[in-house]
Amino acid sequence: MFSLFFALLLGILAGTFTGIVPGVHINLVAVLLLSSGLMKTVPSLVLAVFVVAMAITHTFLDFIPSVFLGAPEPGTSLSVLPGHRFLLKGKGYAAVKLTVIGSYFGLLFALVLIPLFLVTVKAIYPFLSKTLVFVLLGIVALLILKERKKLLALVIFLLSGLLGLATLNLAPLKQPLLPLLSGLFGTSLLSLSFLRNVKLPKQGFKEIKLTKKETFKALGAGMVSSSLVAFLPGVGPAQAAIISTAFWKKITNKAFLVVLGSINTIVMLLSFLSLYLLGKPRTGAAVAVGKLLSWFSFNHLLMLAAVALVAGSIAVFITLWLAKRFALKLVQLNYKWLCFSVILFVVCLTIAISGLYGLLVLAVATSLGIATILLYVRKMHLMGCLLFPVIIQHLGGFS
Amino acid sequence: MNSSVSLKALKSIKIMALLKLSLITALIGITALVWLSLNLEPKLISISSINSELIDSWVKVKGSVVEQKQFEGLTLLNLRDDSGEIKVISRMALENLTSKQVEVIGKVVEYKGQIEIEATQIKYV
Repeated sequence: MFSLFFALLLGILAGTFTGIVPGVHINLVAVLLLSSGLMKTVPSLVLAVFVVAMAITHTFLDFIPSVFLGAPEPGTSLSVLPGHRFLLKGKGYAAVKLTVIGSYFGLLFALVLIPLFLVTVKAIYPFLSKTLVFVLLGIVALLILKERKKLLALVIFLLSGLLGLATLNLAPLKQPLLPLLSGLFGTSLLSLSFLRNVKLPKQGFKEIKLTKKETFKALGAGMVSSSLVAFLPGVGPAQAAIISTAFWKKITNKAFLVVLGSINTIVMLLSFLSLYLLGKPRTGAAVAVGKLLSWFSFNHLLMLAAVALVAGSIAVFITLWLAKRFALKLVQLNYKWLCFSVILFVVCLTIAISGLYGLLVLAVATSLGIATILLYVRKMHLMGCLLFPVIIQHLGGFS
Repeated sequence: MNSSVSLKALKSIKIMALLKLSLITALIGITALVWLSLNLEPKLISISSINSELIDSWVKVKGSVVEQKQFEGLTLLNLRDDSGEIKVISRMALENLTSKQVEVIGKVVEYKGQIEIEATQIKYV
């Protein structure tokens, strides 16, 4: 029993590390774990507990680099811009807090709804897999039609879509999402901050008012959209974030950060449920758990749910504490040169992981990201990079 | 300024409520983990008590391997305890277990009208 708790604590520590260091993903740790000799000496359940604790903790922490450094991952990409706006108003901590509220209550919400998923998912799954692409198409159309500059929004969506399609099919490119998303959402914003010589104001810690109605609506939207994508292949938090916007005429930045937080954690939790119910893991962490556990009983599922609850609850403390440290330390640094350092770090990381092709993708994606900001088109349309390939793939499957 | 501001942030009622709730859920999760870790494996049952009502359930049985047949990617064992005998199918690579005492964890399945155990874990006792 003690080995399980030790694994839980180690997993939380590992998730904290992978969460706050840009570019280090839990999949990397999971692959290292599976290829190491640990599987022969450590009981598989202990390793599975480690992976789940790491994965859930990661989904809380990864908003910190996204908000404070503009270095996103698929689940946090859309948080960069609202997060950055909060940061420039001295409310970076509040932005992270909103994502923590989303992640934590999203986790509780999803845990409570597990019995409902157990009863319904197998029956709904075939219908869902056939119709989701049309839901995505409808929401993309709605998003573009809502935009004042409709034609520009469509052009940005298609350009990012083509870039995504090309990048994901570029065979020699490893980890294609790293340069693609970093460029579109991270380095583009940081480059402009660098060029505009943006200065960071003192970071405050005042509460941001969010009504109960707004919070519940955000959590509900996060829950519904996460449930639609969590059991299907090729779609994830990014697509869920786009679906969630259909619940609002105009979503506020505050509510959107809560939605993004909830989606990031709920999709991760449901990927373990997908492994149990359908035998289909939908995240790298769930793949690792599937390979580790030779038998996956209902009690195993309950145990992993309990691990997620403990890890998520502790991650609330860690994330808020670290976000406060970041907010206090960041203002002491020269923000212009911090932006430059992060850009340099992303460039080096891209070359190291994705090679020179990755650098090319990063350059193109950064240019497109900058153009989107300068044209005053919402950055959400850049999600075409992930939506367009999914839509093309699914429609291809129907023809 | 910074330390006083951060102190205020910590004392803020909403933050404290969130942290208190997180602490409570962490304790609930830990209690659940302790209970589940003690009850994770299925209870040991006798072979004769396995019937069609247990199909798709996880069971643990202990007994002696009286026969072992090897097929490509599949091993069939005949397992016997004091109460009876049952077929155990394994897709894992197994050494010769004939006449050895083993503990089997697996799912009860029906194959051609016969109740069998599809093993996911077999270990010496």
